[in-house]
Amino acid sequence: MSLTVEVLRSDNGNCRIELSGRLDTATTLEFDQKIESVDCSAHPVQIVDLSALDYISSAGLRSLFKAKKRAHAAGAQLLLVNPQPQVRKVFDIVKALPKESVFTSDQELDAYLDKMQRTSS
Amino acid sequence: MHRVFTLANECSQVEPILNEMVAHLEEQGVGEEILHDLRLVSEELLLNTVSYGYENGVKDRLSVSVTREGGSLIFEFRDEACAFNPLEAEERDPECDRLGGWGIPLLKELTDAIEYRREGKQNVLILRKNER
Repeated sequence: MSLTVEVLRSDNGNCRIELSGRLDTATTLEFDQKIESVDCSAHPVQIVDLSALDYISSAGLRSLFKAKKRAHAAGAQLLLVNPQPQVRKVFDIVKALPKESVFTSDQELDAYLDKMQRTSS
Repeated sequence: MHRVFTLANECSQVEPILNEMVAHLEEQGVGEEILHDLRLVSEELLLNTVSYGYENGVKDRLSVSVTREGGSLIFEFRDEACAFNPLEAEERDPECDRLGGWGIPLLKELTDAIEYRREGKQNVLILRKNER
């Protein structure tokens, strides 16, 4: 099984990256290349949608961790949304990604983004 | 049920053998969650061994024997790579590729028992995963 990475850029500065399939040693390069094509200054909020991601290995986690670090270094945020239960389980075991950057649903994410916007204005 | 899978120590061989193992267990009626966990720990172990366990140019055949008995699945990994007990590996910087970054907690949390021993030139790692 492979990985599909779809990058959807919106006008409001957000960028949604939809993953589908598996994120493991065989597919991390595809993800790394696509995420590196996202301009952090143009897209300070990057949302990785995991709803169609069926599997993640430690190599995949490492890629997400690197992407998060890259965004942070550029003053941007990378947030994860809709992990499937088996992917969530891996996140919970490894604890590599801060809990506050993983959202169970788009509703939860939207509430967070609204709050951030109110705080900054 | 008992079956042995073998692969050469090449990264490209890992995914096909994992697919074969999962297909075999699926045919035996093993549940989805168990399949996911076993595939993940097997991938972590095999890739680590193949990627880091050998000097340049050394060829080996790794084996994974899969047994189902008494409500458990038992995986036995054998190889002639450098001696390496993943249970004693330190947790490392997550940016380091070597198992010990994040592979170890996955190995420990997703299995019910792990045993390692060195037999002559072989690493032998046995995992047990209960089906209930």
